[in-house]
Amino acid sequence: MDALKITFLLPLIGTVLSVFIRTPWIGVVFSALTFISSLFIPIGYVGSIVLSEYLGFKISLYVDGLNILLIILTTGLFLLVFLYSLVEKRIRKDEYTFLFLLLEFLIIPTFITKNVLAFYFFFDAILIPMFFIIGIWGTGRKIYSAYKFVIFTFFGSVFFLVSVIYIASLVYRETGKLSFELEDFISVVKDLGETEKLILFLGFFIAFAVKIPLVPVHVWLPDAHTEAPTGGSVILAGILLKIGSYAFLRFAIPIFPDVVREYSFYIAIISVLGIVYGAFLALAQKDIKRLIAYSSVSHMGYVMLGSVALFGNKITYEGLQGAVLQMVNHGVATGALFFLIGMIYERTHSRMIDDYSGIAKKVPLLTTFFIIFSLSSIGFPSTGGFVGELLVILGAMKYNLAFGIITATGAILSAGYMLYLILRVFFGELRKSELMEELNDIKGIEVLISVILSIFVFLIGIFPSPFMEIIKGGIDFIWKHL
Amino acid sequence: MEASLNIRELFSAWGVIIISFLISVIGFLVSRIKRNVNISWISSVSASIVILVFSVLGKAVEDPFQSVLFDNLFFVSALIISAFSVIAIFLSLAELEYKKFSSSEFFFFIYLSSLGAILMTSSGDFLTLFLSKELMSFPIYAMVYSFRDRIGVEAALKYFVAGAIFSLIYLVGFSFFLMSEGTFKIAEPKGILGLFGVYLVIFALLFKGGTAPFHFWVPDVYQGAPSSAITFAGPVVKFSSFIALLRVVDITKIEFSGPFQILAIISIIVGILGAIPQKEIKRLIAYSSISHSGFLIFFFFSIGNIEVKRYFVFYLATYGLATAGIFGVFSLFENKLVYLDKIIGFSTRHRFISFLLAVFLISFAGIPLTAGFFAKYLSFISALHTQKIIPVLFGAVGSIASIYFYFQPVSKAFMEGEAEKGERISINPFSVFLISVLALALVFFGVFPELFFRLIEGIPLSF
Repeated sequence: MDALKITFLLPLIGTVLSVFIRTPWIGVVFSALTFISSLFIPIGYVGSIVLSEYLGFKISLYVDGLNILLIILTTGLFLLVFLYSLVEKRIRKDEYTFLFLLLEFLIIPTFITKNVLAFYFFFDAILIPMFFIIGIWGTGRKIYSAYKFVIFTFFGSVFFLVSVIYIASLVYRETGKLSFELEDFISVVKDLGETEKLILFLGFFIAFAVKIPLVPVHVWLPDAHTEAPTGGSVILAGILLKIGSYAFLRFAIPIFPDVVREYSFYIAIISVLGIVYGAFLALAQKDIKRLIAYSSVSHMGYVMLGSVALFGNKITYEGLQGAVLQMVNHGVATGALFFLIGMIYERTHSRMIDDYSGIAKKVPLLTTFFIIFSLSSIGFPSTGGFVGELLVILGAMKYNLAFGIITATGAILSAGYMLYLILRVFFGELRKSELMEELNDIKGIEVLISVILSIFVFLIGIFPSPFMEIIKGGIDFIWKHL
Repeated sequence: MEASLNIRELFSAWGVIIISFLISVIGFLVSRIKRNVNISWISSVSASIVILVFSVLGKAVEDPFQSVLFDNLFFVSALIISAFSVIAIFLSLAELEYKKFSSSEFFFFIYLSSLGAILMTSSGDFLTLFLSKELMSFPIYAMVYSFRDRIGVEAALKYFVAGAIFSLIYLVGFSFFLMSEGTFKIAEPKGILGLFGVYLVIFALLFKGGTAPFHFWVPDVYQGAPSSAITFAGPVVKFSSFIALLRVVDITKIEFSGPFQILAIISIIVGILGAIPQKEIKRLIAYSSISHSGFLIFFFFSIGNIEVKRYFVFYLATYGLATAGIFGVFSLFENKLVYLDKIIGFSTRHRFISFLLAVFLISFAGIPLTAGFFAKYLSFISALHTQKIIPVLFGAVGSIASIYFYFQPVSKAFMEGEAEKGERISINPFSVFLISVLALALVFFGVFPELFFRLIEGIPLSF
C-alpha cells in the first residue's frame, strides 16, 4: 500500500461508511485524509491495480508532472467542499456527503490512470453522482440542467467508447488479447490510415471537447454550473472541466500525434473562438453565477490553445506549461469564486446582479476575497492567473501571431467583465432592501476556505518556479510523442 | 473434483432432472390435496436447488439419447436459470401473499418453465428444442393470466396467440429441414430448403427473444403480467431463447451478420423510440428490453470467436439480473401499473427502494459502476471484431437517447417534491433483501467482471 493507492481507496471507504454513519463529518474526515495522503504521492510513480485481466480492465497508475497538481487540486477542493458543507444549509445532508465522496472516488482515478478503458469507466461513472447532485440540490431548472449535463456528456463519451473499443479490437487482432494500455494504443494507431485515424480521433476529441467545453458544445455548461449547488459548481468548474483538457494531453496527443499536428490549427481556432465568445457572453450576463460559468468557457479556451500551440513540429513549451498551470489556476480561482457566490446566495437567495449594489460596505471581507480571485481570473500580475495566461499567450504568439493578438485581447475582455461585475455588485451605493438586511459578512469556515484558496493564488503567482519544475516532467511525457 | 465424479456416477444428468421434476410434481400434487400453498413453493424451490447444485457439481457427459447436449454451456445455463427461478419463486411468494392471491400452481409453473428453459439452451435436435420451448412457454402464458384482471387476460391471450403462430412457423421450418436433410439433429443444412427451414426456426427464436420486428407481444406481456412473473420470465425467456439461438446459429453455420444487422438496428430503433414516450415504467422497461435484444444480436456478428460466446452469456446474465431486480421492485408496489407521476418524490418515503430502482436503471443504461457498462462494452467489441461499424453507431446513438428514459424514473423519484397520491408499497424484508442482493451483484460484476468469467470458464469452444 502506497500513498497513491491509499489516495485512491480512502474516498471509497468513506463512501461506504457514509451509508452507515450519517453525518457530514465523515466527508470532512475522509477528504482530509485523502488530501494528506495525496501530498505524499511520489512523482514518477508507476503501478497497477488489476480489476479484470481478461477484459483488459486495469487501473494502470501513473503519476508525473501532468497530473500530480491536478490530483492535489482535486483532493484539496473536495476537502474545502466538505468543510463548507458543515456550515451551509442543505436538505438531505447524508446523501450529499455520500454522493460527494462517491464523486471524489470516481474523479481521482481519471487523473491517475494510463489505461484508456479505466479512464473511460470513471469518466463516464462521474455522470451518476453529478446527475443527482445537480438534480437534488440544484436551484431553478435543476432537473432540466441535470439532464442537459448528462446527455451532452454522454453524447461525447459514447463515441469515445466506440473509438476506444475499435482500437482495442485492433489490438486484439494483433495480440489476441484485450488490452487498453496507452502504449498498445499508440503502437496500433500508428499504422492506421489517415481517414481512419481522423475518425477515431474525433471520437476522443468530441468527448473531451464536451467536457472542457469547447465552443459549439459548451451549451450544457452555463445551465449546469448555474443551477448546481455551491459544492457541485465548485467541483464542476474546478475539477471536472480539467478532466477533458487533461485527457486531451494524456491520451489524445500521444495516441494521435499526426492528427493533432495536422489539425491543430482548427482546434486552435475553436479555442480562440471560445476565449472571445465566452468573454462576450460573460459580459452580457445578469446572473453572477452564469457570468462566472461563461468565464470558464473563456478560460478553458486558453488551456486548449496552449495544448495545441505548435512551433515547428512540437507543441511549444510555454504553451504546455501555461495550459497545465492554467488548469490549476482556473480550478483554484473559479472554484473560489463559486464558493463566494454560494456564500452570498446562501444569505440572500439571489444571484441577480441587479439585486446588489455597494455591498462592499456590508461585507468587506467577502469583497476582498472576491476581488483577489477575480484578479487571478483576469490574469493580474502576482496572481496565479497571470503566469498561466502569459505563458499561453507566449505559446500562441510563437504559433501564430494572430492567435496571440486575439488571445491577448480576450484577456482584456475578461478584465472587462470581471471588473464590471465587481463594480456593479460590490461598489456604488448600498441599496436598502430586504435582501441587504440578510447579508452579513463571511465568518469561520467560510473565511478559512477563502484564505486557503487565496494563499494558493498568490503562491502560484509569486513563486511559480516550483510548480513549473513539477510540470516539466509532464511536458517531457508529451514531447516524447509530439 | 472427486465429489463431482461420485455424483455423476450416482445420477446421470437425466437422473437429476427426473428427480428434481418428481420433487416438484409430488410437492405440487400434495399441496393441491392438502390445500397448503407452502408445500408447493417449498417443493419447487428445492427442485430448482437440486438442479442448481447439480449444475455446480456436475461435469459434462454424453447424453445417451443424443437429444440434449450436457456440455459446459448447459451447466452454466442451468446454474443461471435455476438461480433466477429460485429468486422469482421467493419474490412471487411475497407478491402473491401481499395481494391476497393464493395460488399453488404459480410456483410449480415457474419451476416447470425453468426446466423447459434449461433444456432449451442445450437441445441437440430440433424436436427437443421445440418441445422444451413449449414447455418453457406454456406455464408463462398461464402465469401472465394468473391475476385474471383485464390487462392480464389481454396480455396472456396476445402472447398465447402470437406464440402459437410462431410455434407454427417453427414447425414449418422444422419440417422443411427434416424434408431436406432427413434428420432431427441440428446440423449444417445442405439443401436450400433446409436453409430456409433453419431461417424460420431462427425467426421463431427471435420472436421468443423479443427482437423487432417480432416484438409486439413484449410491452403488453411485461405490463400485463404480475411483476413477479416477469422477474422470472423476463430474464429466463430472453436467456434461453438467445442461448438456443446461439447454438442453432453456431451449429448450422448460418450467415448471420448480413440481414441480421438490419434486425439489430430495427430492434434498437423500435425499442428506444418506443420507450421514450412511455408514462408507465413497466412498459418503458419492456421497450428497452427490445432494444437490448438488438444489442444481443451484435454478438452474433463474430460468433466464430470463442470469447464472444462468454461475452454473450455475460450480457444475458447481467441483463437478467437487472430485469429481475427492477421487476422485483415493482412486485412490492400495490398497483400493477407503476406510472411515472405516481413515483414523484418516492425517495422521501422509500429511499432504499428508490436507490435500488436507480441501480437497475443505471445498469440498463450501461453506465459504469454497474455490470451494464461491461455488457454494452462487450456487445460493441463483439460487433467491432468483424468491423460492423454501422450497427455499433446505431447502438451508440441509441444508448445516448436511452439515457433520457432510463433517468426519467430516477429523476422523478429523487429530485421532485412528494406527490400527493403516491404509490403505496409493502416492504417484505426478505424480498427487499433478495432485490438488494441482485443490485449488489450488478455493482459487483460492474467492478470485477473477471469473477463472472471465472464462473463460466468452461464454456466450450464449439458445440
